[in-house]
Amino acid sequence: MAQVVLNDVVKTFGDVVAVDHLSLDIRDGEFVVLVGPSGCGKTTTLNMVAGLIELTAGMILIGDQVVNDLDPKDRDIAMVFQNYALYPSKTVWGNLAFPLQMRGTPKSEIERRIARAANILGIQHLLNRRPRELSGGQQQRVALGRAIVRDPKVFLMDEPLSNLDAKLRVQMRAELKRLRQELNTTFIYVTHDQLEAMTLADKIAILRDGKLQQYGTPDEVFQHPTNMFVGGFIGSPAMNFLLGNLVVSNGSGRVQSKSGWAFPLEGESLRKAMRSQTGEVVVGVRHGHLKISLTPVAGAVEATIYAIEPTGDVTYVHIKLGDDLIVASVTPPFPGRPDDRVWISLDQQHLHIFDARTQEALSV
Amino acid sequence: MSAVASKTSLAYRSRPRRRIDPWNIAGVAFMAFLLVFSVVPMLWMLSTSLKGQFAALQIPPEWIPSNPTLEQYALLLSPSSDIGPRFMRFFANSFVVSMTTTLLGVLIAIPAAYAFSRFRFPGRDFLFFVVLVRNMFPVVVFLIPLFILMKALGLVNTYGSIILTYLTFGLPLSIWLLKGFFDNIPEELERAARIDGATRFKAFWLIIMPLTSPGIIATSIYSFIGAWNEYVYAATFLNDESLLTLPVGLQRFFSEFATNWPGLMAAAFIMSVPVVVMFIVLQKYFVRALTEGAIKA
Repeated sequence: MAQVVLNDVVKTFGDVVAVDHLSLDIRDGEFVVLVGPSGCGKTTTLNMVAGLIELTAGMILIGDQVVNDLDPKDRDIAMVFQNYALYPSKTVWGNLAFPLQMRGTPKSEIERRIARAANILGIQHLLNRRPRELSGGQQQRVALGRAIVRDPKVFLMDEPLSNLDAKLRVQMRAELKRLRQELNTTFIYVTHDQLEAMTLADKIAILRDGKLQQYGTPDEVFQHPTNMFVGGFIGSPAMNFLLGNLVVSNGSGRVQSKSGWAFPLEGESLRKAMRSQTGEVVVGVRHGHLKISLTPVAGAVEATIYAIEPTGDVTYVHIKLGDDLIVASVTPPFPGRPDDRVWISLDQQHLHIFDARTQEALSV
Repeated sequence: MSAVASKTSLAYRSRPRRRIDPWNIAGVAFMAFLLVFSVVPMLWMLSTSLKGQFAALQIPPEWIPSNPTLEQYALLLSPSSDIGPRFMRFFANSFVVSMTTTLLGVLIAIPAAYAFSRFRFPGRDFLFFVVLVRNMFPVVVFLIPLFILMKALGLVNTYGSIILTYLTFGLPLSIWLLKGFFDNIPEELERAARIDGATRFKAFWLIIMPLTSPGIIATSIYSFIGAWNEYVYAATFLNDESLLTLPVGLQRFFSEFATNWPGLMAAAFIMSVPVVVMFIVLQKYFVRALTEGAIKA
């Protein structure tokens, strides 16, 4: 167990800046998820913590030790790869034993630890098989097993669930969560799937183009995204963004779009919007905070239904609002039909106000 | 669901059977031609080696010898005949030269190919290009330059001269072949091994090498055959009869005054035995190496 500190880490490949002055403070025993679209630098960051890629600048600490120049084998870490990277010429037992053998663990201890890991992951019956004889889910378990046979200071996981089918992924996600409770070790987990990030993490670091966008608990990044990118990336379906000009008259305000619609802004949302330098703001509203009515409502904006997606427990209604397409969710049954007219209003308590130019969240 | 799937696949399979694909016929005909082309000379060699001196020159030729004799084989393998000890000597020379070439070649090619496959270093692409460019010239082009070089090094008329020469020709191809094998092994395997506590070398030795063995075997066979059969350089660089390799030795001995065809063919047949045995023993690796290429991890 150990803390991991990234201090102003930079990695460039030629002219390309893969990781741009990244600083992260990961406390002992914390489960931190690095999340972002492909090419955001999350895997590069993980590989630098692992020691597989050298830093261009900055410093990485594991525990209290600066590990910049330390070989991967001396960092006391374990890693699970996206394609599992099981050793094809070794049996499952051989795969699990390898990290212990490399560290000169006594034979009896190796047996004991493999038995324990196999037991935790339910792979006792597979020990004599070779990786190619295993299903994807089984390979995944063996890869996890190879990481947990030792007691490393830090677990590194590079999209470990992304090669599994949807059902298995949900199952393994729960098992990872469970495993994490039992091991109580520091985890750094890379994924592009915001749902995985939300469900697993103690803290989420959202990266984009090598830059850290926001670092906080799942609740913080969901409730208080610091910019439009985070707002749009976390949560599914994505947050709706409504671009318009702030118009204030007689103490009341509204956001007026070029395509004609205008939504009123009240209270804190209005005060935030007034912080904008240019008066051009983006209102971010999640699908659950849009109210839809099939009959006219005072102050609501008229729009048309574009498409309806029932999912069973919730129905997503795609709405054409001026030139924009937005998504709202309603509890079924929803009586509307495509091309019907609807009236939508915003839940003033749950609006996110961004500056249209800087794309940063505005605060009072 | 699986029942449905198998039914459709059955229906699918039976359809093309109805008409005969002209390409298939052309393919079979071509393969048959190739087979005849490569096998008939072998059979002719075997047939001639079993004939007497006169029967070998008879026209029209006897395809199957009417009085087969193992006389030539007996002479070649007898320690007391004129040719026997010399033949054994040539055979041993060839074996030593080919083995040394193969072992040295593989020992050099493995790390070189691994480096080309895994490391990024300045001039990497250029170097690899240079390695390959060698293969674009006919080997004879290098005969005189290499001879001058060997003379300067004082290596003419030693095994060293031809072993070095064979390495010059064999290495580029070996490196290129092996690089292909290393390229097909996911880099994550070494990364995993290094995180699991292995040094770079141990990761290579314990994890990557076992996966490359079919490739290494195929490369070795290739380089062995190249050295075993080579004639031009051996004929130029070696003079001393005690140093001659099989192809040169046989040619000199059997055509000194008049060509003894049955003797030469018997010797050639014996010469092909090690290669054929090697192929049969290692065939499964060779085929796997050529067809599979990628090792699924």
